[in-house]
Amino acid sequence: MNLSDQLTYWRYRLVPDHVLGELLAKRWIDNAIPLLILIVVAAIFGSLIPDFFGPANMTNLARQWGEFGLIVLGLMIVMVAGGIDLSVGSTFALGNIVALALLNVAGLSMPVVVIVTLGVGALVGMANGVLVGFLRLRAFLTTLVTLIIVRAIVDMLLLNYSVRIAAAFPDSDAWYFLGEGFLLGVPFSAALAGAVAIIAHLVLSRSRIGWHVLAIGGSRRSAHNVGIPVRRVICSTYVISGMLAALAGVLFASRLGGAGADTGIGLEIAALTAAVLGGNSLGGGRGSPAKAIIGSITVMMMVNSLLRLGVTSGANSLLLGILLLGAVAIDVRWLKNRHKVLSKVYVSPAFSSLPAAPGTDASSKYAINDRLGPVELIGLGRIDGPEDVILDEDDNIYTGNRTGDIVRFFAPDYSRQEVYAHVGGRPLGLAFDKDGSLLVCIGGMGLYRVTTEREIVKLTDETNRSWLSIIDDSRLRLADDLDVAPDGRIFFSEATVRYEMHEWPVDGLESRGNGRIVCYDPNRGTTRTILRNLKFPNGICMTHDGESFLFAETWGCTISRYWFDGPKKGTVEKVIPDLPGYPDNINRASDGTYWLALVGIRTPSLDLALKMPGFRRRMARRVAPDEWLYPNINTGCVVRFNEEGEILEVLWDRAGENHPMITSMREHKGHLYIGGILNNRIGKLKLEGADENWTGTSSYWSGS
Amino acid sequence: MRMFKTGMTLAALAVIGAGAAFAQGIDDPTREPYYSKLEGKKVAFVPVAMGFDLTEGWAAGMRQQLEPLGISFEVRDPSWNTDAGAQAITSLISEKPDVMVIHNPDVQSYARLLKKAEEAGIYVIQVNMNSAYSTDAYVGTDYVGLGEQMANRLIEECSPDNGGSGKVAVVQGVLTAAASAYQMQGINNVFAEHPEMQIVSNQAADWDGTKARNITATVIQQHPDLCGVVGFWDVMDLGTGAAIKESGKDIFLITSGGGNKTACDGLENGTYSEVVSYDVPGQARDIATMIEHLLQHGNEPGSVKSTLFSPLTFMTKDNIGPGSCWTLEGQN
Amino acid sequence: MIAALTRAIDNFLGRGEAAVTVPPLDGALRPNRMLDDAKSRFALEDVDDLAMVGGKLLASAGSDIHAFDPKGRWKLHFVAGSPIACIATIGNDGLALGLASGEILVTGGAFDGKSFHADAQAKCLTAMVESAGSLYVANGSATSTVGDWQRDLMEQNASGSVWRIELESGNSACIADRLAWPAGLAVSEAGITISEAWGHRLLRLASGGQAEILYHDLPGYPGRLSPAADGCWLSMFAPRSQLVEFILREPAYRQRMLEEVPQPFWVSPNLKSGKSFYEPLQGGGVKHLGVLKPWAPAMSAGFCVRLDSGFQPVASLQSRADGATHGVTGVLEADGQVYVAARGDGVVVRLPAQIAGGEA
Repeated sequence: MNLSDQLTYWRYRLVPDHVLGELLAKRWIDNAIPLLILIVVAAIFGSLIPDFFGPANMTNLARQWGEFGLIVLGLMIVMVAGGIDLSVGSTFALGNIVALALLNVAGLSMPVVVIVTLGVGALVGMANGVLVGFLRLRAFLTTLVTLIIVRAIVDMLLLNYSVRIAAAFPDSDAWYFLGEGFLLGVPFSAALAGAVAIIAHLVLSRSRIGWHVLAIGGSRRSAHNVGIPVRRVICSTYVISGMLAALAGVLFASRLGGAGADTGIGLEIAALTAAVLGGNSLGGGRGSPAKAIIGSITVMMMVNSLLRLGVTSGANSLLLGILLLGAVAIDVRWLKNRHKVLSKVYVSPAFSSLPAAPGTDASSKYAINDRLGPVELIGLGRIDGPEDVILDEDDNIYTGNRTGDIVRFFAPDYSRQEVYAHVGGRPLGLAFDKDGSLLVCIGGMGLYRVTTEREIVKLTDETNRSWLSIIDDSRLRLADDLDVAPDGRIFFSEATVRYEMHEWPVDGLESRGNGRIVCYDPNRGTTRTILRNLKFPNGICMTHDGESFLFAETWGCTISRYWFDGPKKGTVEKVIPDLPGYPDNINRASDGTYWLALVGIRTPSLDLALKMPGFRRRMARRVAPDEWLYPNINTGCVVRFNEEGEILEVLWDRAGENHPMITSMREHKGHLYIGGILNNRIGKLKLEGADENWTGTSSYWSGS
Repeated sequence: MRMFKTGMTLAALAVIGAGAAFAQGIDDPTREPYYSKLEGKKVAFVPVAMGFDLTEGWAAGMRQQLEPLGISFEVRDPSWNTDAGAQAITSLISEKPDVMVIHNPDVQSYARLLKKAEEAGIYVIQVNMNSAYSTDAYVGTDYVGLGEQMANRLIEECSPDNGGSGKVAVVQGVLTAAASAYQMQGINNVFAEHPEMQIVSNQAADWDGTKARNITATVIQQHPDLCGVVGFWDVMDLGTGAAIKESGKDIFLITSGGGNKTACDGLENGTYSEVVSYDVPGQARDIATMIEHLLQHGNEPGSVKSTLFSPLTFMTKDNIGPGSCWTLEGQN
Repeated sequence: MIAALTRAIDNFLGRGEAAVTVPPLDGALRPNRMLDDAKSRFALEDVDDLAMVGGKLLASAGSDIHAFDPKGRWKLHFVAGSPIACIATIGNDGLALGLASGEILVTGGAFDGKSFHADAQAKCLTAMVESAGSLYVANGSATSTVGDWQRDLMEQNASGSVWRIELESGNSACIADRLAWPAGLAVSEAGITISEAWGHRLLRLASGGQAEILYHDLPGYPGRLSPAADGCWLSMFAPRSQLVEFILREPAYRQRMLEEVPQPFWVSPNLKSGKSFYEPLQGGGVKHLGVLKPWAPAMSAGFCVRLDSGFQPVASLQSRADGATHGVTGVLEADGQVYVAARGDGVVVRLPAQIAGGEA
């Protein structure tokens, strides 16, 4: 490596560029900006106000936040479903006066007061819900009208009851507990709001109705088209919002007990500011209780602190207004640009310097020939993308296709075929288990078993999550190839954890070690990642010693051997460090050696580009994917090698007529069967001098 | 603020030092304890809002009297928002000033907080609008008495016996405010004995002039023979008076207020017929005096409760002179 | 200062000058397969330029001139002994041969046996045309040879020039220089039209000397111009591609590529790509189900354009990524037939001028 390559190597080794994209891809990144604002606000006021973080002030803030937080949570739920509820302020006031009237004038007990008040809140919400949800009126105008109407009702109630309310001093500890009590050292209202937030989180993230709410907010029409009862769900969000606002009113009533005319005036603006500032989208579909909490704490803290700082009247409203404006602007810009930014920064190529590629001229061990020329074609035009092929003892061929089927071609002439099983996803690597069932790696799904009764069983679709990984790597995205150890453990490769199946070229562009090898142990039912940071690990093949396997790293152009048992357990050794092309599947040959498919051949221009990550990053951003420099997978070959890494034999299709790219090959009874993931045929090649009785299944399972 | 405080301390020291310097004179034994007890104390004022004659007048008066004594004076302005006011008081309780001066928006909202404040060792003085909980001191109007006197004035002006129609309207402030509730109580007390007097309208304008104007205009339309209106605050009743003027009728409007220059102007130009003044500068002095008193006697907050009702002055166009009303600094 | 800053920002964001765009094939340039569909195909290895001399179609290939006989066979006509860079008809029956050495030889006609030089340094002859006793010669580059055109492009040179040689006296004069690989010439009354390959444009030098841009932003690299019934044929020897445009804006990669990658495997336009699996492959070029898509991005294509008398495109003949008539270096229209020399695939195809859009 020359000096500039060295520099580039360290630059890309030390700076984890991919982290930024992974962070931006996180759903919770939406909360980052609001959280930052919250921290800034807390820092500013904490430094301006003495004892700001003292227990007394925190308790006060928490108690007031409890009430406000409930309102914002209610508003958040409505907003998530794509609506808006401006009547929360009035409903809050209504809750306050109703609760006080019931308690002080009607003399009801605390639980009854709370229940009835909640009922009143629900009624207001119901009115909104019916108008907006069922009669499809505009949410903004409708709730604006409700705001005025409810406010008028509050005024009327005030006229009639306020003096009587003011005259009475209820003597109920239970009642005062609501406004003044503590629950586990936390003010009751804050504890209640926290509980409501947790419930709301669980409902929104894990329940059917919650998903319905999110779906409606995302696209009302689509939600309707998939059969979600849009009107009913929208209506119920308003009911919940009304109830939460009334509940906040009850807490307020208990805390202050005052039936003032100014109660809840302007609260809807504060609540709306809080909700939007927290990152809940005005357009719906994006929002969470966490956002509502962050937003409400920020607004609460600001309003309260400005008051404490003795800022003059009006400044508070002005600030709220500016804040709302800013929050809306950020909301819109963020929504619009996040994906743009993400698509720009997610792809982050790494430095990758491959050893010099061996040549393919006549003197080379990889010398070009036309030995794949006389191949017989099976299923030409009747199979779409046979990535891997495998044969059973009766010579039938099994292979996966692009539409998620496992197709069986019947021996002896393979002119008949059937869908053996429809597994979905993208069936890739295949292997026969000891009991004759078919193990299959399905891209996008995981590791599956198809029993001899054609029953489809999921073996695993997740593994242990890496501690320091930002993206959630516990799900299997692209299980690629597998093999079975003598004790039944299944080792399979996952090509990349950063991209989906169809984005494999992008992973190639990155050429970082994004892949891994995972072990599924059926005896213990566990799935564990055993090797990480591999460059598109692909083919896996058990060696004959029963305690190691060979695996191919496609973008690394290497074959390595891993010992999972025995004295060398846990070690990895390179078997072939410098392939001239990109290795895919590895399978056993009849003479104890191994077959390797090269899906494509390295090109000097791409090898150079791999050493220039910045160049590839700019290419990914500025050039259309169809125009990117790709690994040349239009020409491939089959290689036979032994455990020492010696190349014994190479089979080429010089013209690329039938097998431009080869992803797998399987030796069976003296023939080689060849598959290609982008091909529409399976090749069958007579192998001169090969054991006519050898089969893969017997090689694996007859010995034991 | 700190500069100012330091300045005051130095001034106070200078005063004390000067006292010591003239050793040949007799030392006044009350001086030293007076200054030392007041020095460095903190007073916080929570009005319903700043920006109008009463609260500005009180604040100015208190500041004028207290700050030279080395007492720090601070205003927390909730700007007509009860909840914000409650927040302000709650924060103050944890900040522990020595005295809180509270102007209640209604009788209920702050009551429990004020109790807590006293329990926390803070003297609480309520100004002009009391809460349901009586604290160390109340300085302000006797609204029941005010209501009774105003009712009597209405009877004099409007009773059928005196040639009026007997129909009167009441324009209240915020219903639950002490000023409204107690005043109404006083009016009811008197009218209960005068069945000939009929209250044709009794509505709340929430201390808002525009609301007062709308209410009054409607009442006048509904009752063309309306004889008198009692308003609960002169600033709000600028609207009431405007409605009466617009109607062109001769309706007796009695209201009350802090006796600011606007009241005198209103009397001059006929907006009000009569204004009862509770003299804000006087109240301010009373509050300040009460603060000094509380800080000196050192009793446990809440242990002794006292009330200082403000003297009332009935002002009409005929009895006012150039000095009858007060002006705020910068007011003309 | 501000311009530099703007350029830096553009470079960083891929905007403005740094934007990687290639004009779409649309209008008269809409994709078609007419070159591949042509029935009459006459293979001639390394065929380059065409000329009509004395009613005979001549083609240069390597160091030889071949003559076309009516039966559709090529017959060796003349052996130059050194590689021929371009040819041109002189008068009616003379042929000028531009050699890779920079020498211009004439056989037949009035100047038979004469030899000319545009300039001692002009050794990259790309095109010649004779008009009224003058021979106009395009010299593609001051530093590269004709065969090294890819390097000249990658180095982004603009050192080409155009010369006028008086055949009678042999005097020559430079009439234009600092051109980015002038590769085609056409003389008309309005002046001399030059196709500037790396500039993707057609320029006209009026007799006064001022240059005028007739057409800019062609989707390919324009090469030789030859007269048609009412206008002109333009052969475009290679297509432009987004990837190449991108690489032209990546000096670091380009430099290392020139140094470390063998020339046949450069990411660079080509007369015929896909001959070796060591050549770069682009995403769209991956074979699916055994088929290379015609729309696949490729480093080579067959492309010639019929221009009207105002040098605006009216029709085009093309061979797409999966075609077999790539790298068009010469077009000749005669007797209602259009002959297209596709050097990439070593073939000359013949189409009736009507079909080819010659009547347009």
